Amino acid sequence: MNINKYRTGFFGIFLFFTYTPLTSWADNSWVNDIQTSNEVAITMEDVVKKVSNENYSVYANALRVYQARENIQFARMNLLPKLNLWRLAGVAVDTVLGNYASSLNLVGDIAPFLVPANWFRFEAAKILYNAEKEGYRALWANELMTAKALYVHLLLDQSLLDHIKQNQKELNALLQIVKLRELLGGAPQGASRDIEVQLLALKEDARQLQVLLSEEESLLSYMMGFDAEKTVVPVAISMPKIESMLPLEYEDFIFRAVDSSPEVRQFDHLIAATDTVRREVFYSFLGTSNMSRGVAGGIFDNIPIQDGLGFGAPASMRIASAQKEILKVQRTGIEETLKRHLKLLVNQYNLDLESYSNLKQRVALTQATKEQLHDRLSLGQEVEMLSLIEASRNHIQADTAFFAIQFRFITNEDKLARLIFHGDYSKQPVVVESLKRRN
Amino acid sequence: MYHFNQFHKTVSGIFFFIGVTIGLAPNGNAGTIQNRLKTANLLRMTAKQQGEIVPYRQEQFKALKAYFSEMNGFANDLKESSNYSWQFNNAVSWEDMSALCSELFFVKSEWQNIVKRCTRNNFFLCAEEVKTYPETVSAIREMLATKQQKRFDETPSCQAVFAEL
Repeated sequence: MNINKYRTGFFGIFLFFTYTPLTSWADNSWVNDIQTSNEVAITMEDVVKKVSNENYSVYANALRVYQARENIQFARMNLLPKLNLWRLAGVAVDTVLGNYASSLNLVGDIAPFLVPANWFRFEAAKILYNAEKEGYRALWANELMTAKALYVHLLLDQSLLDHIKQNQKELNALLQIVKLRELLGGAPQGASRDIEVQLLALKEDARQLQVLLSEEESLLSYMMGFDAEKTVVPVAISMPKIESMLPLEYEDFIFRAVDSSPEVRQFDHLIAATDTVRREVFYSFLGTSNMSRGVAGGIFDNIPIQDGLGFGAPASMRIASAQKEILKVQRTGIEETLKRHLKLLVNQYNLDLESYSNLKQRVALTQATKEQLHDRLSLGQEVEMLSLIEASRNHIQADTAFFAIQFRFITNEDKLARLIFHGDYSKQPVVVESLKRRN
Repeated sequence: MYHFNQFHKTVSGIFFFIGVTIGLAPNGNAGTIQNRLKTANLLRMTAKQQGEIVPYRQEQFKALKAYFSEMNGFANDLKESSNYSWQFNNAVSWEDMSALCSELFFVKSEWQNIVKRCTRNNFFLCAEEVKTYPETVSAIREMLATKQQKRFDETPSCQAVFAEL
């Protein structure tokens, strides 16, 4: 019995010296490790800046907005006379042959401003440019939100990996003790096998996390416009003061979410553009326009317009009206989707607020249990090894859940900000001219 | 001589007619300015009334947006058109500055209360124009001529827009 007590004390001291506080896993010390020349430390501000300026999809969309803007200029210039030598020659020949009426065909060339359809296309180009701008803003915000969420996930997964490594260290120390006690008769046979199984499971978790981390890092690096050779290393972010936050109400957010939504605004513009198509059909007896409506005007391409006012005009008008109705329905659909998404986010936010204090308490309690067992061990008292393993595992699980909820809270907060275009999202995405200047 | 007099009379008559026409014709822009100021005042009163009802819901948010967006649009129009800003200065010079400021703007404390009611945790729930109101008012003030700016700065009800008195 005395030998057993002596042995327990020895194990306790051994464990005391090998034990490292778990709080160290959250401080992102890995960022300070020696970085190779291909590693780039990034902050959240860098993410906002780089995604806005160098993301491939954002840049491509900025160019589409540029095209839509140039389309206005094209439509404006299309109202001025143009020279088509072959047509002019054809009219000249016709006139010589006595067909004077054919010179009227030149109206579209000499006085295109007399063709109302050209004016409607010009008006449509202006509206569609605004629609394209809203589409660009939505895409930019989505890319930014995804990149920011990836950044937070990277931090969380890296923290989890550090946590697992710490856990492995602790279990390895325990394994040595339990093996010794199995040999000397202080622990039941097979206790070390349980720990080994746990260690193998942890090893597998770590491997899977490393795969996930490299995938997330690669995607974030791509979204920020880095070369494939570069590896991004996110710097730790400060945690929000969740205790001081109040629960949110869904009704508070509806107005802003719908009012600031570029998706809804884009459809408003498209609906307004439908009227120009209807007028184009109505005035088709004064000629049609062969000008393209540009990148955003594709949805109107399937509306047939007769070259002159014919019996097909009423059907054409009905098709245009139906197109308007389709757009209105789609707008309503988007509004409803936004509201539902908002409702889910607010619920999640409030649930996280409620869970936060519970999880904080759980961390404190499991920490206390674990410390108590370690204290008893260091004082030479009898401690059941399996209880110690269980206590260690409980604390790690509680710690993981606590950190996960904080990261989830940050992500959800950002999703809400995206939905109401607040914070980083209240800025306007950069225009193509400033992007070109930089390149 | 007769021909010269006749010509002189005719030309004078044309100029007189043009002068009378221009003088008597309602000035479109000035009219627009007056109407706009009236509209802004009405929107401000509605926004003030709705701004007191908490928690804010659709009606309150819409009323606030209507006023603050109108002011923002007004500032943009003044910035974009020198003619419009001249018309505004012209209209302001005939107005009582004290009455104009209290009819057109929210005082700082009122705006701060609205901003507080528009904020939940880290989120701003009203229209973005509500947040940028001080910049809007500064932009409108900057579009005033030096003399009018001086009048603006010396009028207590205008000062209250920027600082608590």
